[in-house]
Amino acid sequence: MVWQWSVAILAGGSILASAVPPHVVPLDAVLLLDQYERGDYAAVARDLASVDDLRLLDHLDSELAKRSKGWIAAGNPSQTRRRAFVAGAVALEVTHALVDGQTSRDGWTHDSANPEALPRVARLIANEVSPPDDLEHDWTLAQLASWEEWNAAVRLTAGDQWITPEPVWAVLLGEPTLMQLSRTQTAFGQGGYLQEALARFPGDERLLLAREEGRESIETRCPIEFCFDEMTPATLDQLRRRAKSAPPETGGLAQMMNTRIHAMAVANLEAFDRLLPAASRFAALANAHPGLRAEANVHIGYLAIRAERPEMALRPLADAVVSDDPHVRYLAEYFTGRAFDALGRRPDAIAAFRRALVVVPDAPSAAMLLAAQLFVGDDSTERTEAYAVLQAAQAAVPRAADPWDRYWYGDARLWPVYMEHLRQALRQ
Amino acid sequence: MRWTVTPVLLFALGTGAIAVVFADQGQVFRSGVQSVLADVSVMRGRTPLTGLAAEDFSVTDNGVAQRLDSLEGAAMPLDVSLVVDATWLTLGLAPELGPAGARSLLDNAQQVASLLNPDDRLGVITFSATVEETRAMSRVGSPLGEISVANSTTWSYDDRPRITQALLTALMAPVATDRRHLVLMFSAARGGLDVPSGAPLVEAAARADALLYAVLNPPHYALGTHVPSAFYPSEIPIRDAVMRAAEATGGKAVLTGDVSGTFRDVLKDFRQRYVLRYSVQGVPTRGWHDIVVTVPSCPGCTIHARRGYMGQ
Repeated sequence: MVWQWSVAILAGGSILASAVPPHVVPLDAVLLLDQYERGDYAAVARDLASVDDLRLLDHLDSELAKRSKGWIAAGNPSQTRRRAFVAGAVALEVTHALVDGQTSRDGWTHDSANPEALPRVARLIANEVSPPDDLEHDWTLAQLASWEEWNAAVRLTAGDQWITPEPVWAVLLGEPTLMQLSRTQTAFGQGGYLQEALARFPGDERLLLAREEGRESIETRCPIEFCFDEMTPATLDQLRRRAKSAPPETGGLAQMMNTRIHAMAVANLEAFDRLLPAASRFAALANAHPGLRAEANVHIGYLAIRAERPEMALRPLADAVVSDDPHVRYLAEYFTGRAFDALGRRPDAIAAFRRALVVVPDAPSAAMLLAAQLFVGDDSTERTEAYAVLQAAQAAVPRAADPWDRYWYGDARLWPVYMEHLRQALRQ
Repeated sequence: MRWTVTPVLLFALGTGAIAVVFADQGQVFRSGVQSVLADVSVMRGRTPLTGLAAEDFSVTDNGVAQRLDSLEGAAMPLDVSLVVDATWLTLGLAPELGPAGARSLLDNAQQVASLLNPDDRLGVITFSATVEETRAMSRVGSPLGEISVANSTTWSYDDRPRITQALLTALMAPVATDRRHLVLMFSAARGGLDVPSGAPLVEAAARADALLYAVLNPPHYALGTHVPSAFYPSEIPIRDAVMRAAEATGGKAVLTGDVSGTFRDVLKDFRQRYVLRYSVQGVPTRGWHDIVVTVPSCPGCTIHARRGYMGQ
């Protein structure tokens, strides 16, 4: 099950090989497709991980987009559908390598804003009309995870996030998005990727959860640099003052800045008003799908905290802390600590942050808040412990993935799990 | 709130106690006599008021008047924690620095070190997606060559510059009773905060035995563009948090690209502080102590003081 895999991911595991010599010559798209068809998945992943120059990956992505259709058709006609999914899997591997390149290196380029092969091959697969099966399901979830992690790369590096803070979620939900991603959106039709996927797999829980997570991101999250995801009474006052007063017509740069600040305040307040409706939608999802209850409750808890209703967060979070999934359990404990903090219940907050750090030792998000809580107490031994907690978080190498860093990216954390399922399905 | 650079006065504080060691048990017990050290800045207008004597100061500890043991000053050795935003240097977020960012870090650290006295100590913490102590706190006479931008620049998912983690690590570091601790941070302070809000940082800063000066790179550009992004710093949560944290320690945040020049000014200011020492009397030693410092002979003077200290 998913949670069993996420244990390995939290522990820093990856299905990509590491510490391989860098590639300096372009990889051949057709050779990669052939390798993958033979089941030599590890070699393909290793080759892609070894590419240092993102321009080579961009080139490979373009080549794959151009050559996949011919490669699929070149095989035995009885194998056409399977070869389409092989091409799809390679497109996912390349997209993942591009995400990895963009997030771990300083290599954002305009070309790589829009993966070429993945939407094109997805279209080819969609054209292979046949009843939905496990192979397609595995491909669908792996593609979802790919787009969700692509969102992380775009958010980190896109320069105009102010206009469209959640460009890839917008693609998935059929909302307006970045111009660079419009080609991708076209590949999925007006309703977006998730609508198409749900038409193929109605009631699929991961897809339904993703739809709500996407709405949560688009409707309640604010752009990065001017982000007030977390409201406080002081922040709300500040925003309300800004929103109430129209931008002064001073002209020039000052007016431009004031106009943007005014717009930011209005946008943040509108997002604030959408928090509790979003929590209600997650509650409905949890009621209809018991398998999603723990994850939905984590979202409900966080939305309640953001809506300045921490007392409403405690019960759903208490339900979520018993989850078998350590990612979910960590977030439930972490948010519980934050809810108690907001309620002024310092000892309870400290206890919750400690429990979170048992689930994911040295995770910076809980470590920092635990240290801060310990430091402001009246016990000098707690001050000593606060420093030790921070030292441990600093020294933890390799650092386990911090679930809080992955909160906004849905099943992106499960990309290795879904890819492994897809590889196994292709082997059969 | 509009950004203004105003002279902010300094106040740092250290505490000490007489320790009795029972060797057979390996435990340390502290006596009831607690020595408190307080960094105080007195300004008349924008000019530091110099020449004050111990009897010019009035100090209360949890509301109880205290008698000063001594007035110390520039001779007291410093511990300087240099907290440097490696993201700024390595990921091209400050294009004006060019590819020589890592070299720039070392140059800055060396310039800082050149301004310190032989008894002073320097530690370096760098941060990006991780926090690294790239130089342990040690005397400035030791080589600086080991300073590096060793941080991971792997940005996965929602990693944000670990600015709060780095500052908390510096501010919470234990300080010897006979030294003053200055935390000096250089950062572009761009991107999101690595904590839900600035409150934990500000609250911890208010109780730290250190004084924080933050040098923030001017917001010339929006992230990754050349579009002016001159938002008032307080409109951006990360800048707002750093500014308030600095003020909570008695330090200040300065918006400038002149790192070494700013440090020279900071150090000059810092060495002009008065350092008050008193032995706590009339109040329980343990727990949090509110302290208030005044200069009755100068009612118009501005005195900046931290709010208190943690009793041992």
